[in-house]
Amino acid sequence: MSMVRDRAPTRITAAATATFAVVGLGLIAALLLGAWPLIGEPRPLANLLGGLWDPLRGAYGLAPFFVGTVVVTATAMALTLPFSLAVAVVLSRPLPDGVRLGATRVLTVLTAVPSVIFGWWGLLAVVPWVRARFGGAGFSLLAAGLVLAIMVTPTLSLLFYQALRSVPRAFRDGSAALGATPDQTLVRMELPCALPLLIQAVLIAVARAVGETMAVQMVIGGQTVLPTGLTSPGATLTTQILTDMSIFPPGTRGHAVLDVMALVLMVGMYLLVRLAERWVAMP
Amino acid sequence: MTWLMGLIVALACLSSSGVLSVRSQHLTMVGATSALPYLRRAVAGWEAEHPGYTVSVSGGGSVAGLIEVSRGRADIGVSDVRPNQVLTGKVDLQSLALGRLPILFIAHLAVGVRNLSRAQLQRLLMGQSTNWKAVGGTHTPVIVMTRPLASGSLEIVQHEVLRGGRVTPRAIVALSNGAMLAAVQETPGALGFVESGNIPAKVAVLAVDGQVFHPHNAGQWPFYAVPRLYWRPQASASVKSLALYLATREYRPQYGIFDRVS
Repeated sequence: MSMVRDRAPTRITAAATATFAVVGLGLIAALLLGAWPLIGEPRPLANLLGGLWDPLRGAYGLAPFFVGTVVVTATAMALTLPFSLAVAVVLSRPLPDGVRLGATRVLTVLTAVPSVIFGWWGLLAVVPWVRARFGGAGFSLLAAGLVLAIMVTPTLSLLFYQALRSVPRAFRDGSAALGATPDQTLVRMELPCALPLLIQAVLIAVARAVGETMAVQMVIGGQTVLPTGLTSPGATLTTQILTDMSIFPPGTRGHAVLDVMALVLMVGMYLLVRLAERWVAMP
Repeated sequence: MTWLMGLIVALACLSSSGVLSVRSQHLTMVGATSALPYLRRAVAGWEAEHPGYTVSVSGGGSVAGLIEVSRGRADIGVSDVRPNQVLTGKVDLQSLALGRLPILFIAHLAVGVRNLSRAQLQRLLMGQSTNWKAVGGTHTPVIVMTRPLASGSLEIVQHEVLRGGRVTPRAIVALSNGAMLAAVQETPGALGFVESGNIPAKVAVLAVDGQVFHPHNAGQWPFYAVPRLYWRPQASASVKSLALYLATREYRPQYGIFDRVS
């Protein structure tokens, strides 16, 4: 009886891991099978990289969504990186314990806010601001980037803070003992030491930004042509899957295109994970 | 271990005595978002008359309604898109019409236009006229709002108003009827369309070819969708009962659903 009890944790964890692996592999297999009719066509890349999305007339160009995904993610990261790093640096400075604890708690709570809330807020505040400032409809890549930046900032701030905390205190003390100012210590010692973890944090934030759907959908406008600027409406891979998933039943060409879009996202995420691993493995 | 055995025996006894058995039956409805306000009220009435039954009502669009019901993932699909083999396979769905749901063309209050000819409306929706000044309005760029491809109202607009033409690909996509209304209310220069039997607030409801929509003359309004309730041939009696109940409530006009169509 006791042997059975002793082996239970190992068996339970092994079963859970095996189940997870089967589900993951099953998902990839389902996407590959669904996408295969399109991948197997002549010149699949030429068809998929076109700029025209008119699925009811057989045009499945994904370029507007690739551009939308890249621009929105880049905008969000450009806006959030300096802000998140600033928050993390402040938290890593000498602060009263209560202030630090309160601030980290607030950030932790903000990481748990559902994305639809950010989207709603974006609809009420960000879209009108973009409209008033730049004209047009307000629904735009810029609005999506702003909402994403605000969504990602709490997570990225906490990850940056953990990265800075990983630098041994003795290093900081040593730097101070050699006469370096706090800013010199930060720029020349702490940031370089924490660089692998900082880059890993950025890649995690990029993955979250690329994968976010609901909040982006609510403010981006859903336009399916190549955007002409940052203040133009647009769409990303994830928002277009959300918009059109109900019109293409399994087995149709349109459904195969959505499977291709999902596969592209998964491959992108995999590459980000590999990059993150590579940076952490740096000496 | 003894306590575990005791628990199993207790659960078995409770189950056989019927204490734990669940007698309620759950039905699901999926489809057109435009009919949701009416359906939610009517379903509550049907549930009150049929104790033990619960019904969940969700959106997803007309196309989703047809796909879900034909694949057996919903008991009733609500759709104003005509079924075709791509959507429903070889399932011969049965249906009942809820009635006529007017499709209104709405614009932001500041565009300075209240009446359009059908040709002007076509040019605006297709992106051929890009400023309200071209149709007698203020000097404001036109921002066309549309619905996703799965929307029944988009299909009807493209079929009935654009005569097979397409809404400009530069249109902004609103995922639901309510989102469309809110976007047009807030966006200067916006032009869109909603399924509604009442005159929506804070937007200009456009007359087309001199015909002005009013709930009292809803029968004469030329642009309308006909949302229908669809179910599979082998559906249970309770599903058919629910569909019949929903299709015959007298208060449908309060929700903008007029003149039942057979």
